[in-house]
Amino acid sequence: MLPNMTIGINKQGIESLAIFGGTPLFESPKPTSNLVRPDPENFFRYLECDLARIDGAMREELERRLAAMHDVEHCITVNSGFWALALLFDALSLPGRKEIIMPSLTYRRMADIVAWVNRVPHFCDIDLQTLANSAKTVQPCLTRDTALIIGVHPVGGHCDIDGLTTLAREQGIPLIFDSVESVHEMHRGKRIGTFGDAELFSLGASKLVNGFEGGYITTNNPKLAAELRRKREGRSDGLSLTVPLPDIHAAMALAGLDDLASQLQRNLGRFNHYQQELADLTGLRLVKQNPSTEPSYKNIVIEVLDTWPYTRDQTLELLNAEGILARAYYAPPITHKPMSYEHIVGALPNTDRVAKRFISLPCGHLVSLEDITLIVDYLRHLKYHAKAILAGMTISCMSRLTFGESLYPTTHG
Amino acid sequence: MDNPGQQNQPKPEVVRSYFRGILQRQYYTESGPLVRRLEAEICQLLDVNHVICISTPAVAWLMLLDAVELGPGRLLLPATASNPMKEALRWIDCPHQLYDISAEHGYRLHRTDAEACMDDGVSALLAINPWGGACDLTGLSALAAEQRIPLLIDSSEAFGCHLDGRPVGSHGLAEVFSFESGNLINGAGSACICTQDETLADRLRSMRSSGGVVRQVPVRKTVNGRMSEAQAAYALIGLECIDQLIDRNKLQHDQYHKRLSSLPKLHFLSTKGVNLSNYQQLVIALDSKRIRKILLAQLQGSGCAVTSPAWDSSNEATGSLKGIRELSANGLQLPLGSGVTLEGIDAICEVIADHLEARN
Repeated sequence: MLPNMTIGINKQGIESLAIFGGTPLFESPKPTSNLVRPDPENFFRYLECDLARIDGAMREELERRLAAMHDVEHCITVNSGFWALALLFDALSLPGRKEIIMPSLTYRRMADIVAWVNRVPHFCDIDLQTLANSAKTVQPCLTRDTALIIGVHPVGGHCDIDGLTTLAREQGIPLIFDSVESVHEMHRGKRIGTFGDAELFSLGASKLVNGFEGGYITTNNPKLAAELRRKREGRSDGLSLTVPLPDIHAAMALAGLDDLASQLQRNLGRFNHYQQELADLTGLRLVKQNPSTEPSYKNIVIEVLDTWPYTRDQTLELLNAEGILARAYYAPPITHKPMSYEHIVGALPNTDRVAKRFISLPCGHLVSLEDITLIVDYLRHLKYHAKAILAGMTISCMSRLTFGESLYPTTHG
Repeated sequence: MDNPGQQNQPKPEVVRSYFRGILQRQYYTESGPLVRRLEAEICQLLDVNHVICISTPAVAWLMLLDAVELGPGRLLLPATASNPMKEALRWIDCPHQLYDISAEHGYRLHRTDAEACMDDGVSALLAINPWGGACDLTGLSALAAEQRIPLLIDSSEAFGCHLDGRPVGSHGLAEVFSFESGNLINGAGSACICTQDETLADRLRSMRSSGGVVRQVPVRKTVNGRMSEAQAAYALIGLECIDQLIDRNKLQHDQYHKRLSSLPKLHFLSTKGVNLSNYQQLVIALDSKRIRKILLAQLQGSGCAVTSPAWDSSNEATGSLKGIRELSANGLQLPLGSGVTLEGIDAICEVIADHLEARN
């Protein structure tokens, strides 16, 4: 008889697991998206205030607030992070050069954006400690055709800001940071948002500040800011597209900013609770964050260690079946998917390793401390009943294959 | 000065009701329930098989031009091309040629004008349904079919219009509607693409985002073209009162007509080519360029949002295009929409009448 390690969950025997037909642990799925909801009355106040009567005024107010938050001169909002990146790539890429250096373990549409602006993605590896690209991983990718370097902050922590800044300066190549996951953080006493030539943030519903959909760019370069505004309004000589942030999205983001301090406290509470609950569970490592960077603790990332009895993908399958919508950390890498356009890929050993080992666990507005207790209890349950569960998964898999083969002619008979 | 167009703002209490629902469901984007409902309602209203809601008109055009997978050759682009259409073209590596409009056809695109530029090197034909009316849809559709090339139409100014007993929305390979605030339906800057072609619809949905895909199909590149639940709420509110909006537009249109129709050397251009109009714009042409110039300056000087109906045609390579030059010099788009009163219309008409009658 195994010790009772799963007090919080009602799972007796492996047949009670949802993957084998049992009732899922969560009736309402628990996502990894932030989906933070502002105070409705505060949102309505913005929607009905004087700013709402002037086209673009809400957007300008949001830009002013965001610029102040990041302690940066200029903030340019766009209707999504996707188009913000596209406009930024086109504005900053060195003329006559094609290659944009980026990691493969990142936003899954990043390479498509590069292709839209008629440049070529050149994929670099990542650092195993930060899970992000660095001067050391970018350096081997530099060529005479390098037009731009993208430093991408990982989910938790930062990429090599100092190294990339030095490298870009020495090489005379523009540098931007994708800081979508590092909105409210610090580096060496300065706010994220002030580094490189520009930084990119998202106002998507899954992000720290929920603007339904949206994105913004911060920069201290007035010429770049002016060009980005022209591009956003379809008035630039280069590629431009009318993609303004709708004022109702700006109103939502403003209400979210009002709630930000409180949200950061709630996020910290969730992180601490995961940390406490996971402390005695070996085989899974919670990715820690550096308090000196004032992290937002929005995301919860764990590493699946060699001592954990399941593979990363088996763990995800078992979690997802129970309504725990954990996700593979940025996997598969972009380079593992077909691309219909020109791209450059070298050896990416660290990317391939990380792509198999990390999991983003449920977090954000729809996840309570009680949910976290249940999720970790379930993980504990998985660990202590691993032998039986793995055997069941093998049988189930073989059974599916067998049924799949025998059912096919029947249904078409 | 810009003509702000319709500016149909939803009532605060209705907005609150919709947004309470969104905040309660906590479903904010990715083809949420309101976007799905909007797509279904537009399908029904426009009697079209597939509606794909998109974040902005420019993104909709960019997606459409990529998704149709144009063959080699050039696009035939109307001289009156909308800004989203022109912006999207710059992202697509494809040459284009402008085709003109003519006074003979009321400055609406016509088969004759497109045919003058047509040859085997044309890969697609683009068109516009202008001013609460329609272009020569029958002729242009036939021409595109004969050439075996796609016809793509910007129908932003014709939402709710009917032609030969059918709503505008199912002509050509696809039609794009803008829901920017200047148009009849205010969808907070959003748009939609309508098509009867299932393959195209699948491609567009697969390109748009991870949500709302009926059948995943390979696409060359994806975008973020997601319409948010907030944008969908605005558009649905507009659809709820579409009949009242059209009635109001018609009332204003009739008032202009009553005051101006007897004036000499003045022609109404809007609402033509359809059996039922949405009356969202009022466009006239004057025979006298001189008087038109004076009127434009005087009305704009008094704060009236009167503009040229020919967009920014002066910036286009329109040197040899006589029709668009004429429309730029003779046309006037008069204010019509939520910011306009019948008294205001009377005042505008009085200024116009003073000049035209004085000339006689």
